[in-house]
Parts: sequence; C-alpha cells; structure tokens
Amino acid sequence: MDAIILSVFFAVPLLGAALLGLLPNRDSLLRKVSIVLSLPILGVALALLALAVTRQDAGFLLRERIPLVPSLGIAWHVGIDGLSAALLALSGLIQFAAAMVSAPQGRSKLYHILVQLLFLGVHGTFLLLDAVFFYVFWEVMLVPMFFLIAIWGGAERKAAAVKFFVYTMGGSVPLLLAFFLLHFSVPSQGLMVMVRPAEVREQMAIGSQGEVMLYDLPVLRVDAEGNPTPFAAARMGDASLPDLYVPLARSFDLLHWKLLAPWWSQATVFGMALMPLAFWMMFVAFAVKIPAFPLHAWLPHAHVQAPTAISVVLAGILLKLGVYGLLRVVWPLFPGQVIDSATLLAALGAVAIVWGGFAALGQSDLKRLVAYSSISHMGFCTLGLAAANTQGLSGAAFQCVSHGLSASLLFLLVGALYERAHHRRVDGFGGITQIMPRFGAIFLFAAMLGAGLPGLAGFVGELSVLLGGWANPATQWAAFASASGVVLSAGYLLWTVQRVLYGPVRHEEHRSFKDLSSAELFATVPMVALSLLLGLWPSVLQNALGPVSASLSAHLGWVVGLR
Amino acid sequence: MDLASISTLMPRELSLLLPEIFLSGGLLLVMVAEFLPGGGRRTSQAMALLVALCTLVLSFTASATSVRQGYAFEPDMLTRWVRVYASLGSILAIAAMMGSARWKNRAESGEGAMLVLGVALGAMLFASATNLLALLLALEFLSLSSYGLAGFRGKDSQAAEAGLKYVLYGGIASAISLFGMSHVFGMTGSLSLSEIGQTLAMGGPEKAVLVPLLLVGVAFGYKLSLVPFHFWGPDVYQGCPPVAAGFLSTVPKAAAFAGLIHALLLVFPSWTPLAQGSSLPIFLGLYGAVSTVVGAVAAGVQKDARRILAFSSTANAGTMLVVLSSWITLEAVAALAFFLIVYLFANFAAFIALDRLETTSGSSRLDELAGSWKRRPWTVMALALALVSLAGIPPLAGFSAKWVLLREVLRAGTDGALGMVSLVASIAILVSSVSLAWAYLRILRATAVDEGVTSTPPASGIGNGWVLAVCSLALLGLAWAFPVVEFLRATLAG
Repeated sequence: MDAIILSVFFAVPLLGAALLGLLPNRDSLLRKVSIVLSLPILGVALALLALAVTRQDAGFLLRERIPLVPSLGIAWHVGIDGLSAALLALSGLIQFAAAMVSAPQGRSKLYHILVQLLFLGVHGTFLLLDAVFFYVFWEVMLVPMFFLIAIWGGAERKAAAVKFFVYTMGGSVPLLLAFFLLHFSVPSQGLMVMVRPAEVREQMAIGSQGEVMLYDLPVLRVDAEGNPTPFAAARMGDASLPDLYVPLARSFDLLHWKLLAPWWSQATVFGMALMPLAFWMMFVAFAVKIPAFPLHAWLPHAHVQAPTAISVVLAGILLKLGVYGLLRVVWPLFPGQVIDSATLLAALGAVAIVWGGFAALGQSDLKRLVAYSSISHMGFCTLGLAAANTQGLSGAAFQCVSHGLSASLLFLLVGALYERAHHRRVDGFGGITQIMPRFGAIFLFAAMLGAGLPGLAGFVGELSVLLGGWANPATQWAAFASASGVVLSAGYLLWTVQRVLYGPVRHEEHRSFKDLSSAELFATVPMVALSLLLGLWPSVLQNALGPVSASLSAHLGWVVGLR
Repeated sequence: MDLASISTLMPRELSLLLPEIFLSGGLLLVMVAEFLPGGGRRTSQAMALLVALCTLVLSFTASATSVRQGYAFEPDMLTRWVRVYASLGSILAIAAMMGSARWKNRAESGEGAMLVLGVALGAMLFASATNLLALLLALEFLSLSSYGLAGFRGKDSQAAEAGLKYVLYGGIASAISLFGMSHVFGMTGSLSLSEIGQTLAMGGPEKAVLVPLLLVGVAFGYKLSLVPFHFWGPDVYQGCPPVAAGFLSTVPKAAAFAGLIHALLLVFPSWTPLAQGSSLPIFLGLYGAVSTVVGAVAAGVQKDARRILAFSSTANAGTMLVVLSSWITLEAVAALAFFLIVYLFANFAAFIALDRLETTSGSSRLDELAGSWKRRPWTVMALALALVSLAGIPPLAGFSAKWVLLREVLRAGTDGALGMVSLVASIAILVSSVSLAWAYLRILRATAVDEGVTSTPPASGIGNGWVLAVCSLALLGLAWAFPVVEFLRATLAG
C-alpha cells in the first residue's frame, strides 16, 4: 500500500513526459502543463511533511519492501521519512518555480520532457532504499541534465555540459564498485548483528506471530539454551531489554546495510580494512554533487552556462542530493570512519566556506558569484555532517532547504535581470531598484537570506551547524574558522546589492526595464514567504528533521561505542 | 585421435549439425537465386532472410550433446546459443540491409546477404569445433566471408583499404595460430582438444605447451579485436556498410567467446572455478582489463562516429574477457551471453541509425553528422538510446548487462591474487566506462545538440527504421535483466 502511494512520485513524471510528448508543440501550452505537473508532487510531499512534523519521530512515514529478485537480494524498497519528505517538498517547489520561468529557445517539447525525466531521477533518489535502484535513479539524472545544459545553455554550453557529465559520472563509478564490495563482503551464509534498542523502538513493526520486525527482518533474542528466538512485541515496553539481534543476508538494502554498520567496521577486503576504502569511494560520489572542495570545479561552469530554470534546479535540488546521499547512505554505514575522519571532513567544509566566499567576492559575473556562494553555503552542510551530532546533522539538513530557497531565488532574479539586460556583469548595473522596485525588494531579501540574517531561514541552518561543529572537539577549530564565512557572505552579497540595486541609474537604457512579471512573482514569492516562515518559526521544519538527525546521531554514537 | 576419425561422423550424429547443414544448403541457394530466371538481388535478399529465419527456428529445436565423443564438431548448449545469436544477427543484418536507402539498390547487395549467412555459418561451426583442425577451418570460413563483407563496396578506395587490411591481419593471425597448432600437435600428438587436455593432465609438457597455446590464442584475439590485434577494426568499420559493421562487431565475437570457452574447458578440464594459483585466469583478467582501457582511451580521441564504435568494440570485448578471470562458471557464461545479446541490439541500433543519418550527411565524421536531429529526429533519438545503453547508463539494458557482468567478476572473491585481479579489472572497466561514455557523448553531441551548417531538408522514408525500432525496444525491454539471465543460465545448463 505504501509503495502505491509513493508511486505518485514516479507516475507523475513518467506519464507527464508521455503526455508532453503527445501535446502539440506550443511553448505556452507545454509550459502550463509542466507547471501543473509539479503541483501533485508538491501537494503530496507537503502533506507527508506535515505528517512528519506532527508525528515528530524518526520512523518512516511510509515504507514498503517488495522483494523482486530474492536470490540476488534486490528489492523495490521505497520509504519516506522527515528528511526525504522535506527535500521532496523542496523539490516540488523548485520544479514549480523552474516551470514558471522556463523559456527554452526552440525544441521546447524535448526540454519539458527532459525536465520531467530529471525529476524522475530526483524523486527516485530521495525515495529508494535499495542500493541498486538508488544508483539507477542517481544516474538517470545524468543524461537529461547533460542535454538541458548542452542544448539550451549559454555560449560555452557544450563544454560546460561535458564537464558536468564527466565529473558526475566519474564520481559515481566508485559508488557502484563500493556497493559491490559491500554486497560481497557479507559472508554468503549471512550474519547475526546486534541492533540498537532505540532503533527497534523507532522503526519496529509487528509480525503475524506478534514478534518484533525491523525493516522486514525478525528481531531475535538469545534464549536460555543459547538459541535465537523471535522477540515478542509485547515485551518491547520492558524497562530493560535483552540484547537484540537481526539475521542479515547478502543484499543491496540500504537499511539492512545500516544495521550491518558494526560489521563493516571490522570487515576486510583484499587484506585491507573495508571501512575506509568503501567510505571514501562513496564519499567521492556524493561530494562531487554537493560539491565539496576540491571536487567543485564543474559547478561554476555549469551554472553560468545553464539556462535560468536549469540553474535553479541545479542549485535548488541537485546539490542537495549529495548531502542526502551522505546522510542516508554513507553516514549510517560507517560511523567509525565518520568519527575518525571528522577533522578532515570539517576541514573540507571550512575550506569550501572560506575559499568559496573569497572567490565569490572576486567575481564580476552575477551567476558565477551566486555559484561560488553556493559552494560556500554548501560547505556548511559538509561541516555539519562532519560534526555528526544532532545539531550538526539537523543543521546540515536545514541548510539544504534554506540554501535551496536562497540560491534558487538568487538564480531566478539574476536570470530575470539577464533577460532584460542581456549581460550579467556586476558593474554593468546601478540603481535598478529605482526602475524595478519589486525586483529590488526581493533581491535584497534574497541577499539577506543568503547572508544568514537572523529571522530568515539561512540563519537557522548555519547557526545550528556552527553550534554543532563547536560542540564536537574534533571539528571545533573548523567551526571557528567557518564563522567567518557568515561575514564573508554578508560582504559579497551586500556589496553586490549595493552595486546592482542602489546608487544612480548608470545606464539610461535600463529605464525601459519592466518590473517582475506575474510569472516571475509566482516563482519567487512562495520562496520568500517560506524563508520568512522558516526563519521565524523553524520548528515547522525542525520537527521533521530533528528526530531523524537525533536518531542518526545516536546510531553513530552506539556503533562507535561497540568498537 | 588421428586425422581419420574426423570423417567418422555417423548419420545419427549428423543430425546434431542440422542447422549448419540447412544453412549451407540455403547459402548455395541464395548464391544462385540471383541468376535464376525472374530472380534478382531482391529475390536473393528475401531468400537469405527466409533462410536466416528458418535457421533460427532450427537452432531452437536442434538437439545438443553433453557427451564428448571426440568428434571434430560437437555442438553443446553453448553452441546452440551461438546459433540463435548468429541467426538473430543475420536476420537483423539482412533486414536492415534490405531497407537501407544507400545499400539496397546496389548491384552487390544480393551477395551481401549471402556473405552475412556465410559469416553466420562460420560462427556456428567455430562454436562447435572441438578439434584444432576444425577450429582452423571454421575460423577460415568465418574470416573469408567477413573479408568479403568488409570489402563489399568493391570500387571504393576506403573499402578496398579496409578489405585489404582485414585480409592481411587475418592471414597473419591465422598463420601464427597455425604455427602454434603445429607445435601443440608435435608436443601432445593430438589435434583433439580433449586429448590434449588429457595429455597435459597426465603430466605432459604443461609449461612447454603454454607458449604454442598462446600462439593459437592469437586467432581468438584477432576475432575479438583485442589489443594488440584490433587495428583492423576502425578501418573495416569505416570502410564497410554500417549494417555490415554492426554484424561483424557482434556475431564473430559470440563465436570466438564460445570457441574460447570450449577450448579452455577441454584443455584444462581439471581446473575448478576460482582456482587459486593458476596463472591463466589471472592473465585473462589482466589482458581483458588492458584491452578495455586501451580501447576506451583510443575511442575518446576519434573524430569519426564509426571509429569510436570500433574502438569501443575493442573495449567491450576486453570487458567481456574479464568475466572469464573467475574461470568458467555457469553464471559467468550466462552473464557473458546476456552482455553479448545486449551488445548485439545496441551495436545494431547504433550502426543502423548511423546508416540512416549518413544517407543525408554523406559521412560518419562527427562534424558532418552535426545537426542530424533536424533531419531525422526519431533516428537520433534511437541513436541516443543505443549510445546511452552502450555507455552503461541506467535505466537501459546496457547498464543491466554491465551490472550482471561486474557482479560475476567481483564474485571471484575478495582475497588472494585472483581477488586482487578482479578488483583491478573492475576498476579498469568502470574507469574506462567514463572514457567510453565521453566518446559516445561526442557522437550524441554532434547528432543531437550541434546545429550543423547544412540546411538539408528533413529526410523522410521509413526504410530500415523498423529494424531500428525493434532494437530500441529490445534495449528498453532487456533493462529488466534478471529473468533473461536466469533463462540463459537454465538453458546453458542443458
């Protein structure tokens, strides 16, 4: 049943792509259909997010595992929790905004179909809990994105598209290999692994015999004769629980792999420890997407060349998939490595924050400036992940949403400006706010949001990450250094605002610019409202992200404690 | 076994070779059909198609043997699979040739269909040969038909170069192979692969015979276009009709792999899967990895779509060879067979699409293919499907094939020298897949993204488009690999 509800996220883009293929080739019609297609996604995701916010626990809201090839351990395993619900809701909003401002020059039918396929990949990545399908959907995004940049981008679009493709595909190669290594490092006869009692409480289901089930596996205890026996659900309320175990076989199930975390830290392949090998192989795949320093070189190029709507999708949601992948796939599997490498990971975050900020200061192209600010802001996610405590992890997740809003807003506005002026040079504007007051107001708001002004969403995520980083001795100095990133972002964004919006009107021909159109307002105003809401009342989102982060943090601590 | 026993096949055993015998007869019929009263090249093409279809049906029904009796040709379940594969390839090739706007009306097109059947017959014989002499004869039959198909555009200088290069390479490869065979015969006193295996098992000159065996292996390397025997590939693929290139890059490969598997199993009968300490599986794994890397890197720098596909064929053959490094298990052969099936459809789709695009662009050079999407949008879409599949990007069949293959490679274990080889080979395959994807992407960039300079009007006509559609649907359908792989495993088990 759960799988049927979640199939909305697959059916809408697939059927939408087919529908778009059948429609007559008229730009306005195709655009309207694309807008409508984003609404059911947004609606269902928001409803699920609301459910997560009211439930306030780390359990999955919906989850179903349908074994497809039992002999190979492949299953269609879909599930949604507070984290994926929040990111899917963000994805729906981004899709809506991108459809609002999409203006492909020619071949528009292909454009809208590719966007649907791109979002099919996004939804699948957020929902799938089986490594094989996760990888499939992860890669599904590659080809549409390549064409979206290569066909409808700017002057250097083809080189930028190829760079994007090679970086991302190169990054996903070790991911596939790591999945195989993990699969085969489990002994073929299977394993019994101890489980964290709190996780059983959070995620348990009750089997047909009244026994406790965890992720569709029976939870066992060892009886007096030393034999494993099913554990009765009625005893879950006991004050002290016995040691609980689950039997695990070779599979590609990400949740089963999470339960195997104690095993990964001691397993070996080729005489080497498995954990560091697999951790770094998988980290690279997701770090390219974030993009974490030093794997970020594709981003400014891709952003500058991509058309406005695609830049919005790229910054708004695709970068978040990297953070999501680390939170869902890598961190739960290798807690020991996360703790061991915390200093290095935090350093990667801090370098991205500071270096990205300085690079943004030096940019003369508005889109490049926003791209570097993205690198800087996503550095906070890396830092929060490195801190690996509740505040750090939930801050990283919160930062995903708030950066999704701020970067999308900035790209939407820069795109609107480019459409009118046909250039993006920071020094080529001045006094725009006198000509376009609504534009000026929203631009100023977006800059404040990006700069992390208290009362707006950007502040919550960054503060939470910094506090989390400070609380962990291994990441303390990195958090300290990163705090300067907040000052830097205020610097480059406010300086940009000053040069673009204020002062005298430098170019008389700019006086003919029209203020934001209704479509542009439809795309931007919901994001403005949401950023304000999340800034003033963060618990709306925090109640969904917090429990998931707390559970992950507890999992990390528990597994490390077993060593 | 002495030479005389080759001719001792009894009529009952002859029925085992029914598809081959039928195909030989059909081949002769197609050859004369063009000159019969009322016949023409269309007649011979249609007849060739009919013969290929009948062979396909016969291949499914013909019985196979599981007992080795020392005959020169002993078709087993693997041979049966190659027969199906070769007939399927012939059907696709002849059908695509019949519909090709550029080839169907040429005077030689009737002979083309006949040569396709000749290659298929050679492939089937090669896949059932269990005797060095039979292997050589089948190889020569396969090669001679291939030379004809490669140099098919007789008067064109590029085609003549391709044909000549092919013949020279093939001749030298056969000569080296024959030289090796003479040594093997001299050392073991037998031509039968199983007797050679018995001699070696009884403490024969195992070390000394290894070098001649490697020389025999040159013939396989040549047919698979593995490094360094791959140099004929790009010129041949560029010089011959694209549809023939699609055929020559797939069917002989299947035959060569079947021949290789038979040879390895018969000459080294005592080896078990995942045997530690034997150097040949390690050699196969590393050799395959080297071919993969060289092919992938070379593909990345080509400026011609067909040359890219030629180098990618070297890389793919290397990838397939790697799976034998975990020695010949049923699962490994099933994975290899599935990879070859997907490769058949993807390569045919790519070459048929190029055939259609070249009708208007006049050349397979990337800069001249630019803007193809304006003239033939559907063909470009099918080409994109084929190339994305070849690149192993999900959710198409190419990814499933790569996945199934890698799974078998890595199953070899996670320790010891063999495990290390499987890891190195997997890394080589995966890293090469990025280089290959980049090469395919350049074809896609030219055909689907670039504007192009010419303003040729949109092309019309279905032609062989339906063959292309069949291949594209197969690439979508085979994406769900597991039932097919399971079926292959079950049928190969007999």
